[in-house]
Amino acid sequence: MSLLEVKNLGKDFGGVHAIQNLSFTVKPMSIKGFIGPNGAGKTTVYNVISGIIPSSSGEITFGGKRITGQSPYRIAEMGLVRTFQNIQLFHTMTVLEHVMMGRHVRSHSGFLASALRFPGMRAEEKKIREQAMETLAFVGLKDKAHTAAVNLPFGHQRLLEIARALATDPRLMLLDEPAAGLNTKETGQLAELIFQIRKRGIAMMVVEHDMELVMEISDEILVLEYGQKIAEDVPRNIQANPKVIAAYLGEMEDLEAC
Amino acid sequence: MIGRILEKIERIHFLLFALLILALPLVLGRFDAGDYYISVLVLAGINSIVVVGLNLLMGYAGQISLGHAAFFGVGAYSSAIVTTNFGLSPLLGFALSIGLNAVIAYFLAEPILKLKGHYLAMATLGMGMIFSALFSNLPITGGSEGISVAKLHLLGYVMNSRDLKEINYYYFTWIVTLVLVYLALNLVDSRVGRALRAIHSSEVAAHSIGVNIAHYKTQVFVLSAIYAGIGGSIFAHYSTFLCPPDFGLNYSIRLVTMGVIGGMSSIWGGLLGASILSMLPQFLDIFAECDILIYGLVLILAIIFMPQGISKAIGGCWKKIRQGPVIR
Amino acid sequence: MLKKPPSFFGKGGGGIFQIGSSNESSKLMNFADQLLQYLVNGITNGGIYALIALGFTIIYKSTDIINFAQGEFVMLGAVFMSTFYQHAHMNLAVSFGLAVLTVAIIGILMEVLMIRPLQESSVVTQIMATIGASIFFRGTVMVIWGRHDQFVPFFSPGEPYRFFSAILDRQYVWILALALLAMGGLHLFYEKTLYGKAMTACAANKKASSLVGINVQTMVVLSFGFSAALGAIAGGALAPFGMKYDTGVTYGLKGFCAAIVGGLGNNVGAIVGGFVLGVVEELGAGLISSSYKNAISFCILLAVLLMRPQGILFIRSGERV
Repeated sequence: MSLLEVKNLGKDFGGVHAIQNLSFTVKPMSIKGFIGPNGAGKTTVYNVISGIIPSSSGEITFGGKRITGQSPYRIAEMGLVRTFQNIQLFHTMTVLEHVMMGRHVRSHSGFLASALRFPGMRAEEKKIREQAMETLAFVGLKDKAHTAAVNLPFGHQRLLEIARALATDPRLMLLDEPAAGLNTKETGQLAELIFQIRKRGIAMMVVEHDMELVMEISDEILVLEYGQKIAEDVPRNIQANPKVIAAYLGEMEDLEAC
Repeated sequence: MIGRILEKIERIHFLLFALLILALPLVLGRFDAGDYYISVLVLAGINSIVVVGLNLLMGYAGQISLGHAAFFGVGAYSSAIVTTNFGLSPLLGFALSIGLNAVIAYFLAEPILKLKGHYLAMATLGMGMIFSALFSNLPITGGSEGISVAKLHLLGYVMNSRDLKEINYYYFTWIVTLVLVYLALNLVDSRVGRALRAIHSSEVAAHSIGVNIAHYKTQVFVLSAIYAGIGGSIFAHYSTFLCPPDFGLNYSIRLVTMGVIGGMSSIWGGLLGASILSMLPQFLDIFAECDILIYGLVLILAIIFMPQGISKAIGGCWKKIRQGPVIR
Repeated sequence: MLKKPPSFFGKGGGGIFQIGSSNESSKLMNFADQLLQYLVNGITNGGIYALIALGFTIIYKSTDIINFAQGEFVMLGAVFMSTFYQHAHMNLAVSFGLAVLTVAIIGILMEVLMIRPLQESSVVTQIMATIGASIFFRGTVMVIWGRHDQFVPFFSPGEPYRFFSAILDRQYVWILALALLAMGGLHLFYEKTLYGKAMTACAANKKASSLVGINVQTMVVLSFGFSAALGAIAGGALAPFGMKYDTGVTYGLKGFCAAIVGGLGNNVGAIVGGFVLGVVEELGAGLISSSYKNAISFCILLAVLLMRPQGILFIRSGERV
């Protein structure tokens, strides 16, 4: 029984095939590493799964339900959230408010209830605040709750994005380069946090260029090149896979040619 | 905990403000020109309602509108037509104003709010121009001849008869304003307010953590149209005569100017901007022929030197004073 | 003293021709004649709209700002030309040239004093700033020149030409000729001069342009100068019909519709959009009702924005072929 099932997914931009015939699954409570050279289409896969851009072909099911063509907010409601490679914070909000935004999908007060401050709305607001504080404590940002999010150091901003996603009570989180820009110590803490999140029963897909981190945390790794899957296996086998090595060696050569 | 305290303080601000508004006529009554000031303040109240609604849309949700005079006009003409043409109760006029604006805004929101930035600005401007053409050409609005409106009778009182020196209408207008401001203050400090601010900052992030963007944009657009409509209805009974130029592009632009000068992303900013710009022309009378010039100059200078509006500028100064001098 | 000529805008063909004649056959004849007349008027208006739309486009391409003071450049052009002619007693051509130059300088000043400090601001702030500028221009003109129309004589007085059955005012010919001349000149500038190419490069990619040594700031200044000059050319051509402090607003809005119709940020689009808007508006006003003339333009604007925000000319940018 798999949580996320992607079948024959394709995405074209004009004539460019960004994703071709991609199939994979993510099991509940598992961590799937998602790697590939720059421009392989990893973020595009995330964008399609989270509903930000429509797919050209194929089918995605989440928790047994078809989510292809669904609105992003519906997909988030169902328990699939993502973070962004280029951090997307709300520039007018404090750290706490960000995480309270995460509780949005799990709360209901509308315009009327909010404007008139119905008792139910007050109770809900209190609960949102408490749960958000709890989540902040979990990722270790509790003492920064009332700081403006844009004033946080970079590493903390990445943590905040994870906290915001976590607050939606997801079953699957798609993390996009969570370790980019972090130092070694912070990366270590991130790995620990990812394991802690899994202990809460949440599965994760992690796009990451830090190979050491990916190898350490992943149960399985999916490798993408030119929008196509070239390997999917446990970390040990991925490291030995000649196709994967070739893909990355190719990238090394490109770099050297520059 | 801190949040709780902040919430309390917010309400104290509001209470003090409400007291000030209610007490103001007592002070102004002692001046010779008191009646005149009161009638200017009625206008300030009307504009405040519209600008507070507009700030919810522009300052919080980040969606520009250069056409809100349309909703103001729909509200005003609703009241005028219900009371003058059909001789029905003004309350029905208010109901029609709210209902009609809600319906119009609801159906316009979906297509228009898909646009962003300059495109949205132009689409709303176009919307305003089309309504303004309708106001000056439809038979039911009296066309360019205009239409007269009955004075407001409520609970057996004439709210704005001359012999009562406009004072009743002042209280009527400002009590409605205070209620609507209070509701707006509540709204921005809630789950809905946060969602609106999230849409303003990053639509893609808001969407992917579960905010139904189209739904919120539509609702806040409808809400701001309702605020504008209520303002329009009150204006109709205040001015007792409506003519199309009152509801054209100029008014739309004045509304946004009020928001920009007071501070868009603050309810208080909307009140402040609306009040200042409602009173400014009265003082600019002194400069007679130069009024437009000074108005333009004030707008340009305000934008260059206080892009966040007066309310944020004052807030910033206050913060600096409280924190004391910066030690380097 | 100059006599006030019939209003050019607003009335259009509707004022000259009575719709609905008693005689059936002449009705048919009249209809074809009317269509031709609407077309002639529409194309003339279109030339003006195209010039203003070009002004919008040039500034939008270089700064991503919609300049709501574009219509005021038109008004300023006419007012200055009238002043140079009436008060400084220069001849028409010199007045025209000087007016264009003056307004170009005003445009440049506007960029330096107001737009430059707001480069990083939000869209709302920028829009409000240019609206502020337009109000300021209007106010200044009202204070200095008063509330009445400023005129110059018709460039070549005389009986109107006849184009088949349509009446073609001599000034219309001037308007069209000047508009086409300005467009041609602009085209040559973009294609043949180094500055023109640099401006094109800046519009396409500012960062890359500054890396290859183009002074982006100069190009922005130039674009404001050109844009203001185009507005002033339109204003000068319209000056015989009279202009006052608030006449520019309508022109600005129409030019702005034209720019959108053609696809914002595209010179050819602006010109096509201008003519299309001019003709459609005139036909609509003539065939439906002239009191809805403005509404027709804005309905076209809304329709284009909602259905083809990229303009009527071009395929969606995402769809590469």
